[in-house]
Amino acid sequence: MTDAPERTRLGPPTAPSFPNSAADRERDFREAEGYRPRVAVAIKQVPPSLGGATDPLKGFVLRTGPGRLNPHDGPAIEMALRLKDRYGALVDLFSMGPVQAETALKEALSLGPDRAFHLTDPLLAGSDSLATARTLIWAMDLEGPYDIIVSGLMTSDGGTGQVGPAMAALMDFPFAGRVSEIVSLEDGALTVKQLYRDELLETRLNLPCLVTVHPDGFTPRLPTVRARLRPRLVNRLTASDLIAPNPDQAPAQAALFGERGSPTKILRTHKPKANDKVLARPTPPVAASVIIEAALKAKS
Amino acid sequence: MTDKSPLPPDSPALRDESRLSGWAEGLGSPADRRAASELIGQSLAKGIPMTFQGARTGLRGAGVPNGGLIVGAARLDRVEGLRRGQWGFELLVQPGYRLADLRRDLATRRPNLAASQAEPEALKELLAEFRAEELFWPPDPSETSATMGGLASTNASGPNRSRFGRAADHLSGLRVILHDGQEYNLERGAFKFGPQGLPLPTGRLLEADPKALGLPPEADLLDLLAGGQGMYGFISGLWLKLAKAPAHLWGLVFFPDSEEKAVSLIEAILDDPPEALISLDFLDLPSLSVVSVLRQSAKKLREIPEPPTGAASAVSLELMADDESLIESASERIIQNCLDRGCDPDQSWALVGTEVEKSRLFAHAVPEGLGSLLDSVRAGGYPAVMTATDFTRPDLRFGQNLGECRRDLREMGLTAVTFGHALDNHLSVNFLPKNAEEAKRATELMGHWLERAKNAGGELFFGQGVGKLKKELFLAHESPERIASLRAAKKALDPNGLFNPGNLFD
Repeated sequence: MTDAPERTRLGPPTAPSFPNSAADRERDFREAEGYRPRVAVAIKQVPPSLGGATDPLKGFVLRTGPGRLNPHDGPAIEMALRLKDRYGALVDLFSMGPVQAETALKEALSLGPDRAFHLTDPLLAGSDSLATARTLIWAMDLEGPYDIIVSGLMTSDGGTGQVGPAMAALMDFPFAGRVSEIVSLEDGALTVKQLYRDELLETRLNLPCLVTVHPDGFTPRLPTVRARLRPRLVNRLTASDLIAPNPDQAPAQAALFGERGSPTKILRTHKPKANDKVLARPTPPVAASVIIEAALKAKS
Repeated sequence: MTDKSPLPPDSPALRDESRLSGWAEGLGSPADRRAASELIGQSLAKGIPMTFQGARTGLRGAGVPNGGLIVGAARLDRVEGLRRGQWGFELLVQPGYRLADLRRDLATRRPNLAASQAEPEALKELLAEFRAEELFWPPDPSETSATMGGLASTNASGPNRSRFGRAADHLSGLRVILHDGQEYNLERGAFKFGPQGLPLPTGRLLEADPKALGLPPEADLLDLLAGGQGMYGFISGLWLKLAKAPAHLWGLVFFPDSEEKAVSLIEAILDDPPEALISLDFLDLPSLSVVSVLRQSAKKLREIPEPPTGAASAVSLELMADDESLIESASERIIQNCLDRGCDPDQSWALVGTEVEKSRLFAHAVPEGLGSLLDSVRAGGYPAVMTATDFTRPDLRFGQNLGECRRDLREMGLTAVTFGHALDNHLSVNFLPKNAEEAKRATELMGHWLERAKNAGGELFFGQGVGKLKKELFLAHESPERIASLRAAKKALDPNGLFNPGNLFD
């Protein structure tokens, strides 16, 4: 395989950096004996595939009804669990969303992750991909630091595919997209294979790093019956939990939450129109006659 | 036979999942009711035989043409009405509407009622009530690409048959074009069997009693038409009775490392079945291999992991209840059953809600994959067709029934893929004959099993009906009284023999 590809840097982080964040406090933690790599997975509950509705004024996807785990997140969780199986990693899940999104976290916990954190607060509503990326980073900073952050390739509702790469850019982490295989986790680096069309690219990323996962690479496992019956605790985090470590910067941080902190403005949403064209529309008696005449002709 | 057909020999319209192929002089796919009515009316007037086709997912060749015209229902796929009847909400759908369409419309609670004739205001009010409820169509057969017309015509059922019955039990009305070319709206109970027989809307009388036709005493015309395999008329609309969905559904799959342990687990569950249990299925080791083979070509199936290493069979069950604690306690009991029998309960999958589709997809991959295996046999030169039998044995325990089949297969030197619904003690044995000699032995064995099942009071031709593929077995093993009654029904409802010729009778 080829060497690691050259990468175009995404520019300086645009999120404020907080000097007392957990990631800044600990940089040499991986050297400790018996250290278990720590993996965070960003997941999301999305509306059922065909039942989603949007706010007619703001264009947001409405999240009031029942939902399901974003289909691209199953492979992301599976990659994290394979790191757990092979390297004894500790796996934490993070999700931002309304109260009912806890269901998706509970569902995902039954697959084998160690902990789950649910960011839920009206202040966080209306977040675009940038605000979502920032908020998830703050939550991971509270519970981290993490060696590897894993995210699905995209969500089935927003479909931007930006949250994972935006988190990598904001944290200045090495990033690999469309990961389809874990090669190794050793010597402070994760080596993976990335699938681009029909080509595989082997990439070595120094830790800490962030990857998004190709859906064909990791068939998600299914929970066992005993795992399903086990109590599954989801830890809830609110906006004030995120602000807590930095009270002096609270106003600046609060301005970056939710709709206020989201530069994206949706101009218009629309449903695609079918392109079917009717070339001819004979009346039913004529259509029937044509078919029958043809059949009789064929018979004779 | 395909050389007679003006349709290209490779036309998919000439075959179905049974791998039988037929011939036809033409194909019409009407896009609306009126077009269907015209096409069928003119064909009847000119004496052209017709074969009605849905999605061609049938395994017995009922939709394979035998000359004449193919009338495809695939484009008749709209929802025409919604009402609140004596059973609750009912949906009027056209015959080409698929089970997948129904599941989608019930999940989103947004059926497209643009074709409805109802008063807009009244419909709006009704829709609001409809959207407030979570509903399902209980028979829920596993082939979701099947059309509702096809499911009704074969009186299909799903793995939950012993709990919820078959398609006909969940129809409140049918709209049918009969041999006089007229379209009739038949409500449940409008045409019932009386002492003289069954009065028909055409004015004729079918002189037969329901028992002889294999129907329950309270059966009516709907029960005869559903399961008629298109031999009695064209179903142009179906009123589906919808039921309130219980709040919780779990799908559990266990993977014992031997068939003996799987059978022992099934029998333990059957000895004290949980209240929430709605289905209990068995898949043997060859069935698991079929699923593995199909994974190579079926992308959807690759979204499900491979069974655990060492799995030698699977026991798949569904639990449904409003109170989830009932399901949890049932699951705990089943885990204990596993432990007591040396099965590892962690070699299992547990799915809830819409995720249960995954365990259904897994189980349904077996019949689906059999078609691919047959194709590979055919590629080797032998024109294999689906050679399978379904029967129930009320006199035996599940393990005894399976044991008898295993012994006979060994003695006859045959191999088969075997799965079944344990709540009915229903086994589906699917042979994979590689040559004419093996096919002959398989047919002989099927006949032997059918006789034994008949003598034991079991049901024959249980799964997918008779169609064209199994009519010889049917005529050889069904009771003369039943055959005579079905012939009388065919004569009364299709006196000129123009509907689906070749099904059930020559």
